[in-house]
Amino acid sequence: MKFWSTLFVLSSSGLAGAFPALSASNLEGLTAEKVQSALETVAKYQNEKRLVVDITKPVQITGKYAFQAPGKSDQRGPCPGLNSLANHGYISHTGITSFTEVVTAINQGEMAHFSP
Amino acid sequence: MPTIYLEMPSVFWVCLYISTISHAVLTPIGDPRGLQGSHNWIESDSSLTRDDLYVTGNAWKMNMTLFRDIYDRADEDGVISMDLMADQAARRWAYSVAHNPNFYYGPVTGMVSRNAGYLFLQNLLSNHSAEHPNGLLTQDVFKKFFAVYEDANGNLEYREGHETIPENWYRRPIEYGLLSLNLDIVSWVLKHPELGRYVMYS
Repeated sequence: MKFWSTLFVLSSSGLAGAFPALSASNLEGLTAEKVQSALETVAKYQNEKRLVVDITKPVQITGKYAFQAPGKSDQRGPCPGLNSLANHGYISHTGITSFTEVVTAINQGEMAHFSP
Repeated sequence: MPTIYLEMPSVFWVCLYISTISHAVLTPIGDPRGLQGSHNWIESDSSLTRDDLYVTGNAWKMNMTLFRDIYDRADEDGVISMDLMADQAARRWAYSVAHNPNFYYGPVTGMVSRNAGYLFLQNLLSNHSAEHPNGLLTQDVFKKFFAVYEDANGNLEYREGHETIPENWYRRPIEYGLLSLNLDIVSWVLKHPELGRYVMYS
């Protein structure tokens, strides 16, 4: 309840200018259940993938992970970490990814550990 | 101005990052939405290499002047140290205070989230090879991750969206979790107390 009332107050208040992401249209679709399910998937992935990563080797950037410049229709955002993963095929080259794909890429691939 | 403090669980940071990306899948119609539009939620003002949203209107494309401002401060071995990064964080903060009347730097989106961007670069994107297990951020690694290409004459060119992973780049072997992040933030605030200030519409 606290979650929803806080969101309501923030999205309808004059703070929308400072926090455009909290305006009603941007929050559409975000629910506490989705956040919770995201956390659970991260936990599960961590359990499964932790043993697979070899940190003694440099990150592979050859073969299927070789650099490929983005094409006209490929999306790239402001984040160098995610862009480099997309350019190397760790997440979809189109730049449009799924939650499971990006968690796998960041955790297994190369950049961060996630722990719930 | 009233102080608004948002209570969030401890995994807020990563979870928010991922949930914004997941909008790309969960939105059945319309353009996929990524990190753009996340101002003062994930994206914040006074970034290392990006301009403030309400100053230039573009907070996602890199500004080469800002890139060079830190790139050129590397030491004689081309290394960008943690100290250098802390000083740059303070420098960029002061710049936003002076030039952005809509500068927002809050307790979470400012002190934590904005500085995390700098600290992620320093701690996650640096090269954790056997010689430097704590990570070494060199100009070369910095260039590669920030899509800056150097030609034979030493000229630097930014190619938007063309970020790369450097060769022989090793990931960080131990977690950089919220505890480590917060310890680093505290050490920066001790060095530059203004980074612990709350700024709204300076």
